Amino acid sequence: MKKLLLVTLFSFSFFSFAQNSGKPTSKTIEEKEGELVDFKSIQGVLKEDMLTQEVKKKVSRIQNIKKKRKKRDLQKYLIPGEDEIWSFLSELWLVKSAPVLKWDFQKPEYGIEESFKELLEEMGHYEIDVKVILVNTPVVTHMALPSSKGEYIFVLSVPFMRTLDLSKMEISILLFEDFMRVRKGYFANFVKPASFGSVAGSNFKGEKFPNALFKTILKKYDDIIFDRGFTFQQQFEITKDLNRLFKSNMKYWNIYYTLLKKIDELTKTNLLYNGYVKIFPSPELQLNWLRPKKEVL
Amino acid sequence: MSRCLILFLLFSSFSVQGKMVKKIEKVMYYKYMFGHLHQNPSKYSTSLTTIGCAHPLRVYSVKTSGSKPRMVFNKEWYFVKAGPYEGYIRSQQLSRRKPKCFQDKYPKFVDQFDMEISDMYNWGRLYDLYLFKRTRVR
Repeated sequence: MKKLLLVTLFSFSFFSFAQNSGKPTSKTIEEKEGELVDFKSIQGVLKEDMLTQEVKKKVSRIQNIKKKRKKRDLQKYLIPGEDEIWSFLSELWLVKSAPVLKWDFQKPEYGIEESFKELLEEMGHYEIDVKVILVNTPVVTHMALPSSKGEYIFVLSVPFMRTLDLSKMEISILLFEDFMRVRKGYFANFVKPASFGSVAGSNFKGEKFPNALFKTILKKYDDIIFDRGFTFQQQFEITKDLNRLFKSNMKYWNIYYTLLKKIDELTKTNLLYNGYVKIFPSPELQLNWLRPKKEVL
Repeated sequence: MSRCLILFLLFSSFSVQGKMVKKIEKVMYYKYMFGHLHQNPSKYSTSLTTIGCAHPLRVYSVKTSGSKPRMVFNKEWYFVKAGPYEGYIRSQQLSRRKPKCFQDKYPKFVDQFDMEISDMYNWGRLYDLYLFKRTRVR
């Protein structure tokens, strides 16, 4: 009988422990004590026993614990700020678009990242994290996605670079052009709705999560990458910027010019890439903007 | 006769053990969003399991008969244990200290995206296949 009683007690205590430990916000012993004991009703006794100070300490300790718990609970509902949210959204888009982008495939080590790193350093961009994902599709040729502060995500098509037979230096210049676009905020400004500024970094405890807003952003990723691309004005600005930057190093300027020539020819001759000009308008115009103007005497 | 058989079995089991000796060297943590534990030290090798950020991993040093114990395989891979699985993971994906993970910092936000197992798998693959580089300090 005794044994049965012991087993029952043990199992009860075990179950109650298991239930309590499962709760993420289980109360501490101090809090439970605070709920059980009404210190106000025994103030006289406490005074007699010189325990008033001790009770004060205990009450303030309980209040502190409650305050910290409330703060912790509130923090769980934080929406990341603009400096952290972009890497999550860009990677989420890459993950969700895996069947279209086909980035999970075997390929040799091209050494692109090393060559691009050297170019960035030569151009004076230090302490930057570069993430390049190679895709096995001509649907996306090259693109930089917004990411966290000091980090850049690049998507680069292997069929595109193979068709053009691009050298490491040409690929690096192509990625550098994308890098300049994303730094100017063309991508992020296009995909983020007007209300994004007030949502990023806010707290949604007790409110409805702005699901539609994030769906819109991810939809706009598709829009800019597959359909809309960049404007003529943006392309003009980027081309002029690179022109200025590369003029001090004619080796890069020549590579950039040759690269644009190659792309221009490809988009005019290969049907698979004739949508390129819709995304990056247009290599032909870019060549014109780069060409030095002939002076009429 | 039976004693001989027992001795033989005991001896043979020792010799099998003697071929590969594993020793836990340290505990490290996975530092990116999701990742994979691979069957072989290659990013294209079969994934044994998907692990999340801050997952603790026991890093082994392995000693095979007649060789020195080693921790690094195929230039950059550690042989580790994650739960019941033993496999390989790239050393640069691990951190000595428990990292501050995005999904721990913003748990309710991440929950809203209803990530499926296939998404977590793909996210881990993304970190397998990224070409990482950091430009130097000024």
